[in-house]
Amino acid sequence: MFDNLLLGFSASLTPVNLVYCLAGVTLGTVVGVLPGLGPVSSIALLLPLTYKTELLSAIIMLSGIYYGVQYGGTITSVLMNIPGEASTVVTCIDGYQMAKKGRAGAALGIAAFGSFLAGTFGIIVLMFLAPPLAKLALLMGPPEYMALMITGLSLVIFLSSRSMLKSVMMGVLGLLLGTIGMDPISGQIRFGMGIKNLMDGIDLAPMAMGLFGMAEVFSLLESKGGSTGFLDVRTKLREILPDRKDWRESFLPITRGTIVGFLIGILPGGGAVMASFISYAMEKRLSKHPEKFGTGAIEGVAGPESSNNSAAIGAFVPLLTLGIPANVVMALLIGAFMIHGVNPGPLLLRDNPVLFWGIISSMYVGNIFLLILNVPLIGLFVRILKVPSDIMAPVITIICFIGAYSINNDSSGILIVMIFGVAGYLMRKFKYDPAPLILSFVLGPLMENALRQSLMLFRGDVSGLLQRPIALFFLALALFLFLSPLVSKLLKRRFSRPVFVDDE
Amino acid sequence: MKSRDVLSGLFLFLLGGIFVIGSLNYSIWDRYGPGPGFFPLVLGGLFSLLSLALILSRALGFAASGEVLTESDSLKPSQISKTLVYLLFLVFFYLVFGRLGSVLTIFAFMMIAMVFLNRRSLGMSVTISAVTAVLVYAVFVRLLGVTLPGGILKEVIRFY
Repeated sequence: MFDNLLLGFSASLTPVNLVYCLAGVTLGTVVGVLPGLGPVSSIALLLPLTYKTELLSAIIMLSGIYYGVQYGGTITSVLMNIPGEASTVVTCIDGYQMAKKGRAGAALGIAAFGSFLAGTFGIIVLMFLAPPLAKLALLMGPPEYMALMITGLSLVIFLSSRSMLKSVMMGVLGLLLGTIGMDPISGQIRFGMGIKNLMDGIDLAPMAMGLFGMAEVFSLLESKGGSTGFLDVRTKLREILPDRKDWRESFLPITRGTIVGFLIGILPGGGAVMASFISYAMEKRLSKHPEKFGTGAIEGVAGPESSNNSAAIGAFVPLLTLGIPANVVMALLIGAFMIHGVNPGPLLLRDNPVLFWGIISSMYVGNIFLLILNVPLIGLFVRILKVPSDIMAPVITIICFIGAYSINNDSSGILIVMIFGVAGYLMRKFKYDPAPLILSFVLGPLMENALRQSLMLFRGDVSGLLQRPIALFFLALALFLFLSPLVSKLLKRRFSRPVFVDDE
Repeated sequence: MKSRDVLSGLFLFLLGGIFVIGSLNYSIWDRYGPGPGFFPLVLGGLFSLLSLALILSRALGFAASGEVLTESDSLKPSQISKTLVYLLFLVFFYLVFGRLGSVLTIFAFMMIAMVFLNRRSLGMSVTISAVTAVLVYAVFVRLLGVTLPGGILKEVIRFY
């Protein structure tokens, strides 16, 4: 195990990869500070650059953005009551109250240290969990992969907090869009319409940039401008460090948040947002003084902040071991792997150990960078918030277009960004979530391939699945996961009906 | 929200239908199993059915919980006019990028976007646009090695 880790460090501690790691976590922190521009949009914007860089360097940077965002979002949540990220919404509740009482430093400090500890714990568990999971996954063939992809797809309904029907519709649409291009088994071009650029299908990067980045630009244009005030924060080191009382009160919330966050992050459909909310609810439940929550309870910051960072690391477990994305960001990272012709999954550990352990070891380095960055640079990050939207909107547009152009060195990428930008904008207006679409778009071709290979294996006889217990398990799990929200809704309705008892 | 769901459901129903019809051009099933048309046929059909379910559910009065329209969701001309004009700027960018070159296109795009969005002074707009264009060139072309169209500048300036 430690030999493997040393192997990983030898790859991740090169000067080039250290620069990429630093760039990733810095960018992630900046992105986290900026409300609206989330990790999905920023990773989508940078995805085209992975064409030009080494895969390990690219993944190090993109991963750094992902877990760096959790740190950045905290800054605006505490200082301005504006959640920089969805996963830091809950930090606003008590973090901003602490800031109003002059304790912004303690809030930011405990968030930074709690996140560091949670992130480190997550990496250690990932290190131990990944190899046995990868070995187990080697027992899987096309039928098991097909069932696993179906399980991943069944969780699309958890990706949206809105209408389940619309989430499923967007999931199916993503699968449909994934059929455009060359059929991998017969070689036939499907829905190409004679357009050269559609022969290989729609590129993930411009699609994601359009759906998330450009849609965000359009929303920025329509939002009412105006400056928001912010609290003057002292950022001297001694005022950032939590005191003994803060540590005493935060120790258990950090521990609980870390464990809960990691477990939720592993689950496809789970993620930092869900983890932070669950942690907050749990801390309030377990607290001896729940009335303190909402008035500046440090537990209300320590727990969720640890939880969201731990979840961010946990999300890498299914990606690196099974090749299935736990959330949209992981789906984009799969895109980065595939651009380089590498399939993340159980064979990654065997065929690319340097890459595998390089990614894991880079997370240790990234977490240390984040801790160092967050302490002195808070003041600078807050200034970025002052960039007006009339400058921010065209700059984001330019980055999207340049990135899209660089994929094929022609303007077709720009056209795709524009088309999906309009689609993403309309999806917001009509309340459709793009996250299930992206997840299905990535998983769909993999699932179709596995399904057709399975049916060839069984010579068209589906009953062959009955002899594959692992596949059956995943299919049963998929069915359970898909139906569980419906069942719980029905049960809620059934048991909340008033029961009339006859009076005697 | 009800009318929007019915309208979007109708559009998506037709979209599913297009995939169904298109998939019939490919083999659905051959002796080895499902052909290239199988997946899009099944998915297109499912998609159309789900869209129909959405239309019917809204028509029968079932609404999704938590779907509330806010001011930012409005489709009134006063709300979306900025977006529509900005879209025209994007089309301009797409059309001239290859011919004019990246630096000049970015400069022109930033200029018109800032003047339109916030009516900044000409001097400020020129400065910010020029700085952005040069920075993008420096980072993407020189530092990251991305190939961008040189356009007119390439004809004129040797070192570009």
